[in-house]
Amino acid sequence: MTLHTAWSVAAEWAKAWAPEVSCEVEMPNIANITAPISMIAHGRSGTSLFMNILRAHPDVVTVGETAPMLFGSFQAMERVRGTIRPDPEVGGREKHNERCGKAVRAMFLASFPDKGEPRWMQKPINAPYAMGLLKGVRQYRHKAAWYWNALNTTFPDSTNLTILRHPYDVVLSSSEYWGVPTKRAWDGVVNMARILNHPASDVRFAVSHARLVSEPDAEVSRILSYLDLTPHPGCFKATERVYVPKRQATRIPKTKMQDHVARAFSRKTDWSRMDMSKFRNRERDILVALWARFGETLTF
Amino acid sequence: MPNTDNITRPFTLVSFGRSGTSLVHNILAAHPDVEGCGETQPLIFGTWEGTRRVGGVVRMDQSLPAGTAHETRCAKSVRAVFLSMFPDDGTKHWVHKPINVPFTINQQQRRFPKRFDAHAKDYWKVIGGAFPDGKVITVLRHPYDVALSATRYWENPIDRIWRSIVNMAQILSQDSAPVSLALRHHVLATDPTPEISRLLDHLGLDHHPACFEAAEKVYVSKPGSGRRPKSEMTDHTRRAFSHRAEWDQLDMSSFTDQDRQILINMWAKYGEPLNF
Repeated sequence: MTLHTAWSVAAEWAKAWAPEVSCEVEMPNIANITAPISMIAHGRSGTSLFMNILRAHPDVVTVGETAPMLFGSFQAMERVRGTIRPDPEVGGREKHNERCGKAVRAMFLASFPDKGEPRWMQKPINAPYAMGLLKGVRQYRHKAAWYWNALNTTFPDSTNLTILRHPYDVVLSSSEYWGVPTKRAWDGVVNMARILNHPASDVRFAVSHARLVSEPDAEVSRILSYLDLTPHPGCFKATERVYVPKRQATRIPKTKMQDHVARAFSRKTDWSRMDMSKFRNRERDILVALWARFGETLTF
Repeated sequence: MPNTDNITRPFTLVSFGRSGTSLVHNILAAHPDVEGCGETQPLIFGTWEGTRRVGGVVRMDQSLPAGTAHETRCAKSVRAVFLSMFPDDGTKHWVHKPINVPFTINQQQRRFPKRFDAHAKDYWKVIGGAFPDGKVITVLRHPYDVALSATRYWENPIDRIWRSIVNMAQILSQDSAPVSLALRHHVLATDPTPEISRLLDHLGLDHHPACFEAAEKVYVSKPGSGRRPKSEMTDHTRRAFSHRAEWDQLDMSSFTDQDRQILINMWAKYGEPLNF
């Protein structure tokens, strides 16, 4: 089957299955909807840089920050288990998990009716708000198990990866960007690490923010190789800009941010100004373990 | 079932649970031209909220004209979920019952307790956005009976039950509420035929015998009890499914005169007197 024929078949399926979608070949489409590239990390870690590297690739479309859509809607669907009509195609109460995944995929197909590219990428960053609404689930490892069930049921063929940036830099940047206390930002970073460290996590590749800054070409090559994408020049060029350094500031050429470049986008000199009185060593250990999982060394 | 032709025009039953919503749902679902989808409130409001939260941080929907409000996209998401959840079997109409105050509004209310009116307006924005061509109906049952039944069914604290009943009434009281028919539970219990006829006429459905037969059963009288013939529940039938004899056992310490007035006004809006 030629690629064109495969897309035509996919379009017919999409027409039958998600009929509201305008039916040329949608992207994501019925053929690749289960197989996104998913960047799982805490915001302010370089996820926009990563997304823009992939956005520059002609084979990839990026759909943005999808965590509320994915997890919020999955949870909404879980809440109707046993109180709605069974789905004759999937089953009733006993197959409800699959039904939730199917419905979230349908929502993505309806929401992103782009066309053309064979791969798609999303960044469901941060611990989703829906995890805070789980009834009767108190331990974070159980919440993390729910996270992976929702993600893997919806996108069973997803290539999941993360990006590592020094947690203190992430906390400082998060605190400034979202206007939250450093402790809250720290908790978010630690919780994201708990999710990534969970036994159900299948994240096997971590982008290094430090190397994307210091030796971008080599790191971009490593990313593209892992994702089985051709080394397109646009991806390398994408690292010449800075994405969302602050609110309302987007895609600024690095040449205009000499100060940031000189300090390799690190805020090390500001670390001492951060209130760390409520940061616990066992939380630092969680972060060290996360970095070690990917062969990286983290020191505080 | 929902399909691309009828997805925007369901019959939507909005009420507080334990008000007779299963009875009304089953009366309609018994009609050969109507499929019943069940309790869809979390599906609608959770999907809407999940999509609302990604406004501005996800890729544009290129099938929508530039400048389209994000709410249009939220509505489209909700419909996509319904089309996926309930595969089409060719039935002409569909009914669902998004009962109770949505969990998304409860969250908002916890954060902003004095802004319930704004949350209530949002409720109708969501229902109207997702299903702009639908018909919305409700069913009225005496709040004391609802409170007693709800307390036993969900085993929630009574103050929470009162709050939910009153909040649902505030939603139904909104000027923007497109509710076009209020059924009366006590009439459905005592003399169902004319009330069912009124319902079917309102929705443009023929008087199919199965709809009337559906009223001969009792639905979910308690958790897990399913459908039981009325003839087996003579005690309930004799008292017209009212708990009046137990009203004095209700803890009303958190149910204020202001709350009573909200409920009286809501019933009056639909032409029904309510006495406490």
